[in-house]
Amino acid sequence: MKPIRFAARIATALAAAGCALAVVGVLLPAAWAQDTGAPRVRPPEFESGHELPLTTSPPPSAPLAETLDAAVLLTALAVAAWLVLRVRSRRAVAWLAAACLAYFGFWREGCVCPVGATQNVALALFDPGYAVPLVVAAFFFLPLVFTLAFGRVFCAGVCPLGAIQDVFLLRPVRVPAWLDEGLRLLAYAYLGLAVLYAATDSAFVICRYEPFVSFFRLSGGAKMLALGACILVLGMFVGRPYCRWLCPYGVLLGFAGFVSRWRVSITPDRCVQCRLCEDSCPYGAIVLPTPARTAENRVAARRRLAGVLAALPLLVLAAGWLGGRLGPTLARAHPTLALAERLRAEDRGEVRGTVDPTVAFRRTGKPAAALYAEAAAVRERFDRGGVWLGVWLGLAVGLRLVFLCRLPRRAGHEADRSRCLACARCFDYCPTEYERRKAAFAV
Amino acid sequence: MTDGNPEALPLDDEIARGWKRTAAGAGAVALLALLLAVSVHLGKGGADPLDTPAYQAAEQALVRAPGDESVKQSIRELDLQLRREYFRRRALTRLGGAVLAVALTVFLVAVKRARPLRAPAPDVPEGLEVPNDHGRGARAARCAVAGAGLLLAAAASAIAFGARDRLPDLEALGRQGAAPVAERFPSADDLRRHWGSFRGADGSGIAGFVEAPVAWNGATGEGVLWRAELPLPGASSPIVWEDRLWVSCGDAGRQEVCCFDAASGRMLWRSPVVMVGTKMAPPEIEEETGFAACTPVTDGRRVVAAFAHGFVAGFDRDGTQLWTRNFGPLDNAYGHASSLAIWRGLVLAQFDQGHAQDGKSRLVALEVATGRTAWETVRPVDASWCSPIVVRDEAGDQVVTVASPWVIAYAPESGRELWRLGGLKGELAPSPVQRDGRLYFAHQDTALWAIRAGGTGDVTASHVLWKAADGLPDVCSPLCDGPRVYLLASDGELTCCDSATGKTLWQQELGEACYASPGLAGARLYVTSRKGVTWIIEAGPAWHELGRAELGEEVDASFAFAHGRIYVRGRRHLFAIGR
Repeated sequence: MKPIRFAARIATALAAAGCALAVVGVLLPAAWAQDTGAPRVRPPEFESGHELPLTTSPPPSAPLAETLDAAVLLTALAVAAWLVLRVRSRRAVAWLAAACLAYFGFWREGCVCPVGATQNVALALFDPGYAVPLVVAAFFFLPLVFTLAFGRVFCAGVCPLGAIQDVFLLRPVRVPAWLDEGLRLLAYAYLGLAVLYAATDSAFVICRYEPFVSFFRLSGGAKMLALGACILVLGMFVGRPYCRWLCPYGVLLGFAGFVSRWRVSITPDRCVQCRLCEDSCPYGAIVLPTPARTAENRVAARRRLAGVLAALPLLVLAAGWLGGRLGPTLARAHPTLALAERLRAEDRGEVRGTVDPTVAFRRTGKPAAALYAEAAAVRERFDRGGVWLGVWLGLAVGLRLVFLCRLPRRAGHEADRSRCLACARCFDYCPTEYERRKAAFAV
Repeated sequence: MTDGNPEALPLDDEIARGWKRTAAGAGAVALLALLLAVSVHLGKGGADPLDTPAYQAAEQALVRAPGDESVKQSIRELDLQLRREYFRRRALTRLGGAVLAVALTVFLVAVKRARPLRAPAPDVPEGLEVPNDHGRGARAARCAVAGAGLLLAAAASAIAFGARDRLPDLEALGRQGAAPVAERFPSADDLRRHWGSFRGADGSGIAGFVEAPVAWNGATGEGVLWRAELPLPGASSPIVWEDRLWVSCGDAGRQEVCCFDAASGRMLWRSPVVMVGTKMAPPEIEEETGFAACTPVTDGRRVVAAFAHGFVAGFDRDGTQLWTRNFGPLDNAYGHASSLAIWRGLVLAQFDQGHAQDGKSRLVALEVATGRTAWETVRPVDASWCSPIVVRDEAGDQVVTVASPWVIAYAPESGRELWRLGGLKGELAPSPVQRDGRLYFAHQDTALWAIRAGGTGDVTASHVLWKAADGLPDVCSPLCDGPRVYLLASDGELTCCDSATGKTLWQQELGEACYASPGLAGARLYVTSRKGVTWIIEAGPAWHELGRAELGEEVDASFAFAHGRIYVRGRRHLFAIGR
């Protein structure tokens, strides 16, 4: 059985890695693509008597609807916390998630969402002229506040992105811990890029490449539909791949969850180490009890830790330097830089024809040199932003290594502080919980 | 309450089998629907229907035969057919998507009912000992994190250093400022060296070289480098840039731009102006003016032509039509004849029409590359046939226009009016010329005026230097060589005035009607009659004829001076005179 299980794990790992790479492969090239905003079909080029309807933009959400959204979010978070921590019912949490999927996903079409609100907050931090709308701020901060108090109850029962993946989860297989650990770095990179692009007022990449919004809106480009479908198909066998390995907001929630006050406990009393819950978590968020410490492994752990701590500044510096090198390339996604490069290519005859942005720029009568100077300033900001992006990723890798070098002390099976999504599945596997329910039922 | 206790909820085998069958059926339907949607999406006609080869071929056919109604009809039918096909496919895709959604929902429900999320209890290994492999797991995790970090670093390096060489030095471009502008727009030297607009770079009619031919004969071919037949009539003048020469020509039904090899006279291309979607009766105009009286302009890479219909069209050097604009119909009794001017990336078109109070007259700046309107200014003037000129000096560039009753200067980048000078009257056709900060313009109903270029607001009272009344033209533009101003009246009277005072220095009757404006190369003045006779006169304070040459063909267009040659447009042919 063991070789077969090992082979199955390897296959799963390879599939997961392949899907993750495919996701990255779709996201990164798409980041440089420009939206054309062209109509779906060109209008007729001859007189036919047909009057083309005017292109209209949807009006902004009414304040009442936005307030209602925030109120629903607050209520849902409170209910989720109550269901997870007090009622401890997986079924109730699942129904809440379904309701939130229907409301925030299909009814409100996935917007506003806390994941995307991260970019608004980032932009507001770096651009004094931008004010975050109150409802967006509420969407960003409320889940974080609840996570600080109750763990990741937002992920459990409120987030529509998580809920739609849970709907598709059919036969969860365990992803090897090392692979899971490595893939989680993608979320840090994604968060860093999203903040960089938002802070430089380049693009809201999280919104642009949100994989499930096409399903929520029942409309979308083929590439985004394919990306969403790939993640959902992967999600049939791997619990919430987007949440675990890509969600940028999940990184922040992970930090908050790590220091949360009242978080999920698998057992309502004390762990009897029956091991029944070990395979219950489809997200690999249950950590096992640790063996007793010995003087030998304590020394080894200290040495490892000292080595990593010593290497940490070098790692951060190197990553910062590399990020700085990466900055100019990342800057090409900024509209000003893209316009400057296109204009230069047109002027030098390197491309044929024109595009709307260059045409619009020429109409302004501004000299190209002014645009180049502006683009150079943008690139300079990306130079600095790239350094910070590198530092962020260097810290993410380094501190994770530091975390993994320590010798934790766990007496029983526990839900990982930052990775547990508070879905409440593990409760049903705990015999202590079973006893509690029986007693409560009797009462 | 007993959620999760496998013993409490044993699955009924029969029910489970039923759910499994349902799941299998729904899954099959979902798969079929998915395949249907994908195949329809990827299939022929899924993209923009107007990008299909058939449609583009039909468009090309229309470009070749723009007046062919059968081609237009076939395009309409093809367009309708392609659109129907496109929307049929979209409807199929939507249907496939709806079926897929329903089938997928049934599939997911059925699978979950057959195998609920509360899975059976896990296999617990014998003995309840927790495996003591924390160290190994942590080591693997550390390796994974380090490996992922290295992979990210490798990917970042590949992206950063792979694209670095292709990144332009924007800092330098931004600092240098003028460099990209000079690259994009012809420099002042380029403009002087070539003959890219009516009467040359600044509309002065003065060649950029001094030794021009003095003898030729169109009938015998003496002194004529080449002669090329023109496909359609036109009164516009040729323009030249490097090795190419362009002329516009046309009639009521067809307008074209023709490009010739300046060295050999071989026609390189002729491109019709295709105004798709425009049905407009041709304007009623004077036959003498014709439909192609406006001289085109070029920046060396593109050529822009205007026609009496109000059409303006841009072409690239290879004759591909880049854009068209329709400003017609124009309210102009004789036919629109103002030539185009060029300033940096903008083409300036003066559409003076009707009467001043009608508010129809306007100066339009179009982007050379796209034809889009950069700015447009309504002008309080009557219809005119004058061409705008660009005055470049240290105080800043300005576009000077002449029409009754105002000379108006505009800022070329915005169309903002800089100054105006009033008092002009009549049906003005001669264009102004500039020299040493002065502007000269003349018309038989007004006078020869010398004014200082510049100022703000109405400068009528302050900027007029002098006026003169001898030998006033009604068609030909004046020419100023510095100390003197030359006027050529339509009846062939040539007048020379002192540019400082306006005093007449000499007058000479040529005895033939003239429409072409005079030109100057070095110290030689070239004056051509409508019959094609050219007088070569020494530019000086006294009449001194150096020679006389005959083209053997009627000439209404002004000369183009480039490459040491003179390019002349006759009634039916184009001539290159010189070596």
